[in-house]
Amino acid sequence: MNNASTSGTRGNGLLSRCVTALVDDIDALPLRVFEVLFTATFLLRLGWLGLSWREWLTEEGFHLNAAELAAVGCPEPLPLLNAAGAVVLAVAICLSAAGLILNKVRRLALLGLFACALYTQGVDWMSASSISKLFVGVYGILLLTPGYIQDAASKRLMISAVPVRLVQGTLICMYLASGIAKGFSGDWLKHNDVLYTLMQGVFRTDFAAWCLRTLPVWSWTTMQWTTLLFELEAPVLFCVQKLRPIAFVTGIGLHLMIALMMKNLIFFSVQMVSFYALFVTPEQWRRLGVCGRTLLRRLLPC
Amino acid sequence: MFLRLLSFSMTGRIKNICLLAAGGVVWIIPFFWAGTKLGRLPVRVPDRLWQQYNAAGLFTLRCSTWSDWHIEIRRVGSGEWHALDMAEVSPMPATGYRQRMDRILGDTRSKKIGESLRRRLAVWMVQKLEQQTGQQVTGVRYLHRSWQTNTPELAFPAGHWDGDEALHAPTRVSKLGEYEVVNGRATPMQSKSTVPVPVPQPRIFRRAPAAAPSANA
Repeated sequence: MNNASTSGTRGNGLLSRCVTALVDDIDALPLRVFEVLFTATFLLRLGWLGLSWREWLTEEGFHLNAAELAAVGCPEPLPLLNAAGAVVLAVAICLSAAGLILNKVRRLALLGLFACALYTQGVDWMSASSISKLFVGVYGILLLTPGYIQDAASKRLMISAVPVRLVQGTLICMYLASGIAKGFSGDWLKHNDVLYTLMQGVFRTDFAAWCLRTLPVWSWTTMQWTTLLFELEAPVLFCVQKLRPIAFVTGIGLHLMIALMMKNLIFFSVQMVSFYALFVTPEQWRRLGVCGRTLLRRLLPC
Repeated sequence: MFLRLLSFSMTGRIKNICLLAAGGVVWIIPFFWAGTKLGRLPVRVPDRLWQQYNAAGLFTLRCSTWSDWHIEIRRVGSGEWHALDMAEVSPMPATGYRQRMDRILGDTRSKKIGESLRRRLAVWMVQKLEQQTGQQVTGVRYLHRSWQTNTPELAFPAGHWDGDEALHAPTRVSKLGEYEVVNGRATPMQSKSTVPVPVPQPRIFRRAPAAAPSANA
């Protein structure tokens, strides 16, 4: 009886701790850092696409019509812009990004960023990619969940854990789903040279070419298995705090290799790494901040 | 137990639990499921939403070949086909060493829309070339080129991928379509002739010493 009651209390305690960790207010510092990095990535990506704005956003480019898009599984395109419309869009993106980075009129800034992410994706599905979808999804989550509050005692910025857990969950699901797709729906468990053959094609950079010439074939197989294992183990590696250093080293290494070996996938790598900010604790961010300030003072003595 | 859970900021907590559950149902679960590529969800999901969820699970298959798309044009008064620099009509880059136009051409392989899309694109390109460079073009043809992986040429490359550079690998060239463009209308050329037109392998892709063209019209 006593044992049952003790285990029942333990169970309740565990459930209570889980609910607390999932929904109660937490220190907002990791989310603030994430918002800044994620929005910087958004600006970087749209800035790069914006270099070809005429082809991307206006009638000057060739665009698939609704029937053609439907045949390839894409929804109807959003209306194209003229030059003035493109300027308005650029201003809206910059103002919204500045608002979120500086934490001014946050809700309005998030609304602006969400709308811009949705529009820039829907206006041209031929230039949209996984990155665009993640921008829409994450800004949507941040827009619809509770915002920051100031803790009366510590004066620190706090936020409900809901948006943090949903965005963390997005990263973990991204990895785990990719691991399952590679291993069970794809070829990664069937062949040892999947990564080797992937690197030989249209994504191949000069660095990838050098690696192909230099590295033995077994090293590609090792990288393939490391990637697959990392993706399948991501939930454990990111959720267990003691294992996070392994997750960080492997994950950042993986994204660094993608950025170096695959042309124009740097945006994807930077975006994915920005999610890691949410897995650094507030205390670690504060210590990093102190270290950064000390380093800056040494570098710039005046 | 529930009283304990609800004792702290009851309404706020319930709201947050509901938000978390809604986030899980509307975003996390379908996003995860779409990424696994295990099939559609048991419930009907509109295309726009499915596209939104379908972000994970890239590069899942082994590549036995790598391919690209190639456009050739025929100018007025000339019987010869010339390679079109894709950047002339579509300067926007995509991922990899490709242009946005490559992705559009990839989608024209869809049987459902391929023919009509290629015709529309041919007319658009002819107009674009005339506007931008003053070139008078009467014919457009689309070629699909592919190279086998794990060959010395692809597995020991000298540098980054470059479809325009001499690639001495055996190249398989197939023709997707050939059109005559007159007065803003594109007509398939093959319909006029019952004899299949051989597609010569571009010179830069020929093996030295020059091999016979391996064309698959």
